[in-house]
Amino acid sequence: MKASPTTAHETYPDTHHDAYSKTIFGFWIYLMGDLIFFGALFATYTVLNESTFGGPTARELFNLPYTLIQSLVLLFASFMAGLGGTAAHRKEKGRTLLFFSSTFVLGSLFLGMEINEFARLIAAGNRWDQSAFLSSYFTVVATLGVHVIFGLLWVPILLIPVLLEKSLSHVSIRRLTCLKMFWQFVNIIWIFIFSLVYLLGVG
Amino acid sequence: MIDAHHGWNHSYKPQFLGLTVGVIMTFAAYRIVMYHHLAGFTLIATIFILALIQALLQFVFFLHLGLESKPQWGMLTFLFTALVLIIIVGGSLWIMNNMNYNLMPPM
Amino acid sequence: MLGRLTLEAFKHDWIEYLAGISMVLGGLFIVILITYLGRWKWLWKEWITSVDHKKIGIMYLIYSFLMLAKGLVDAAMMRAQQAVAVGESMGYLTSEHYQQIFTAHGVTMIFFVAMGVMFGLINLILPLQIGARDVAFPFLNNLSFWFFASGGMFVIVSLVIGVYSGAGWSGYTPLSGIKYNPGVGVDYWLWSIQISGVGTLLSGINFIVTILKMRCPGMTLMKMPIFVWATFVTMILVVFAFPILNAATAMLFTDRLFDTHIFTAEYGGNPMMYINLFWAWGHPEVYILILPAFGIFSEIVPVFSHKKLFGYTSMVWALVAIAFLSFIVWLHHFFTMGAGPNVNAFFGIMTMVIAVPTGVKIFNWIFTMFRGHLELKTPMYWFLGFIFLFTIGGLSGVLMSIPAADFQVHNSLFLIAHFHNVIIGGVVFGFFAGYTYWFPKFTGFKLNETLGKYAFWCWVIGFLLAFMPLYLLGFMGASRRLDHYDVAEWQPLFLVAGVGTLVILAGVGFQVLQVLVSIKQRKENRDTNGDPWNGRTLEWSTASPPPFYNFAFVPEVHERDAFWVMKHSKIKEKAIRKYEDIHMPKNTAMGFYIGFFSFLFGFGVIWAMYWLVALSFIAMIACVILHLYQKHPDYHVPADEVKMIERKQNP
Repeated sequence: MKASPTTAHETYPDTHHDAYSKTIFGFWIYLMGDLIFFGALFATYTVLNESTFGGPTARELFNLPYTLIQSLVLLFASFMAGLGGTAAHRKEKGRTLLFFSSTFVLGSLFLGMEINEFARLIAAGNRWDQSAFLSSYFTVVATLGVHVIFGLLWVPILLIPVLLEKSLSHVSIRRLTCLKMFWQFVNIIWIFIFSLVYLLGVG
Repeated sequence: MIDAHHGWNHSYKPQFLGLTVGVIMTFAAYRIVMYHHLAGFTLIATIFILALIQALLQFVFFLHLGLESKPQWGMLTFLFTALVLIIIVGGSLWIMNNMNYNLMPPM
Repeated sequence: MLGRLTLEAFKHDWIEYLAGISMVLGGLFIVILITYLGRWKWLWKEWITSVDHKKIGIMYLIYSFLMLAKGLVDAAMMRAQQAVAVGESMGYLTSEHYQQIFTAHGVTMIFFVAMGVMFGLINLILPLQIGARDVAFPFLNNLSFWFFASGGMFVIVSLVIGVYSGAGWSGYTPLSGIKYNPGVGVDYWLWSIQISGVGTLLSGINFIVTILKMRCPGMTLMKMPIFVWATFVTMILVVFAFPILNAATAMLFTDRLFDTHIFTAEYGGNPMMYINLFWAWGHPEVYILILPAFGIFSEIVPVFSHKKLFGYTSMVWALVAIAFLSFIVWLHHFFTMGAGPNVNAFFGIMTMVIAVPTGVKIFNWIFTMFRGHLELKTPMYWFLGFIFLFTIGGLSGVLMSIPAADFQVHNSLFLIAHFHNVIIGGVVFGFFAGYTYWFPKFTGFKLNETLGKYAFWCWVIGFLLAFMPLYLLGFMGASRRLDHYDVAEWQPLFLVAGVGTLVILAGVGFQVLQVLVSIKQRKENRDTNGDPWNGRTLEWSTASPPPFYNFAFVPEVHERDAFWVMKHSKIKEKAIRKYEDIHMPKNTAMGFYIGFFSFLFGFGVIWAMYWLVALSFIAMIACVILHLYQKHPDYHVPADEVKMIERKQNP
């Protein structure tokens, strides 16, 4: 989709009114709203994280080395997404498919590790309904997990058309850029979860 | 923010920079806590600031914040988001802490 | 198979049966009418699947008008109850039913009437005023509407199946938690707010990108109409405030469904955090309601004063200031919840400060009228009514901004009077002004003036009769949400309020009559050239109604009040211009389907019909994929067709 081919193009107040610019900016605004959403969840966690109702505290429950590995896995997943986005802009179809597939694999690994940790906590009797601390912990981390699930679903939805088209279309590049932004946003949220929930919980 | 017409969309370098920064800072924060170098308010402040800096660097390297051509709507939106976050999160903590002190019995 | 859904859900008291049956009959009537007229295909092709902002705007308005009827009935029922339920008499409504009525009344009026009509008007007008052919994301626009409609359906369906929440439109915890409200009512409420909230958020993003990226050549930010500025600032509030509501209601949802203890009274939860988060959204929300109304008045007053708006720059800065300040006043909704004097004082002072930029705007409108050539048509009547009523309401707000004073009147009828004062005097009157003003643009004929003025007087007198007594009652100690009281001295005031409601209903009656009469008289009131009021902004440069592509040639502007300048400039427009192909998006059914399945999804969760939840979730994902995989989501209108349409409209 090209901008309207009038000579007045240069006098448009914002010359970047093409589909790509609009979509990326719109998606950016969505991410900013999502940031606020997580902010409200984090605020709630901070208010409630000491309300253990006599139960175990963060220090007793969290396994920091495990979480460190989780963090690195997600970091690499979003790094791969970043490489994928760049490859898409360079119209390198093979690399695009490889990098985003890696995101899928690493993202799935991250999700598996998170589910595993939840299972461990639940099996030991520390489910989300045992105290306000556990409730808010599960809520924050599970919300990120839901974002990861959507991010994972999204990968094949976008990669299949890429596989089938001869070279990367404008539409694919635009959508893959959004996907890459999403994964990198998820990683940024995780930085705060790792730091404020896990590290400070134990420290 | 990403702009289709710019060079940094076509280079793998910023991604590698972002990865390096992420790995280093994640380990740094981890070490500080694991080896009990700090405690109390200093610990909280340090970890929080480390997280903030890492997040900001990732915004720049991964999400190309601040690199778009004028007008920089992405940067403006981001700054306003940061402001609202400070107000809402900070304000909520101030309010809830104040109320907890006044109202809640020691748990 | 049917989860929690049993025949019990269909059992109600006789009043609820009446409501449910009349609603079902109403729906049936519409279905039969459409079938009789053979209009299903037309409805589907031209409206339901339309991505045209003008059609979507009209759908918002129609849906909101229907919800307004329901909200007014709720109000009348409450007034009737309070007029009689004193001392020995318990009135005709049970307590449970009364609670559902005031809850539904609040949700309906705020989410599905006030927001609906404002988003409807914005949809209609915004692209035209900035010289664009549509919004930035037409499909998302359609989807937003269907999410909005889906949210409203939860309120409607609860009339027949199950019950609606009785925990107030704000759903305070722990009352709205699973322990004290284990039934489906609060769940209905959660889903109506959550789903329509997603629609609102998407619209917010859509309109921001539209305004920043799709203005026509020459229209810098400081040359935009003030209505566009007001919309822009409102949408910023939407994008940054609605996620807070989403988070608060999501956590209440997990409390109810998964037994988390975030807002519960036990296991360490903190119900006050819900109230804190709710109002951190709630205060920006009321500015989301009023700012578009301010924008509407900024359009109307200059046109009917034959004078340009006084103080454009200060108007813009006032909007920006109000938007920023609206984020730092929210605690004034719960001064009495137990924060210390420092916290209360800070928020009290900020609340007083926010009155200042509002005052700037009021003075600017008045200065616009000063030494202008006033034309007192119906829109100006609504404006003058607004000045009078909104100022009183604003003053009562500033009174309550003092924490010590608020402690006396918090949650009393004084508060109820205040917010109805500003919402009716501000939002509703603003909408009526805009509706009257822009009606000819989208129908091709003006509304009857006389009936409009009758309606206006009924609304003003009715409002004063219905709500001024409530100020007094608040001072006398009457709290809100009472379905019965023991103080005989209050009854006369409640009776006066009841009469006021009838007068308002008469006003609505005049408005309905006005539409019918105007349709009958449309030939006399025809808008022949697209500019019935001698307007100043770009929407008046199009035909009435505008062609589906809005502008054959993208306008180029050089100053504010661009159309006014075009009309009066010495430069003759090039008579012969070459028509070009116009690029337009195609209609799509996916928005409707996704909205529909979102309703089934929520319904399934409410009634624990998990197979329905899974199926509708998969269906929504499938629709998204189908939408993404569309081969040709757009088409080109050939230049010849454009020429033909233009020639027909401007012979």
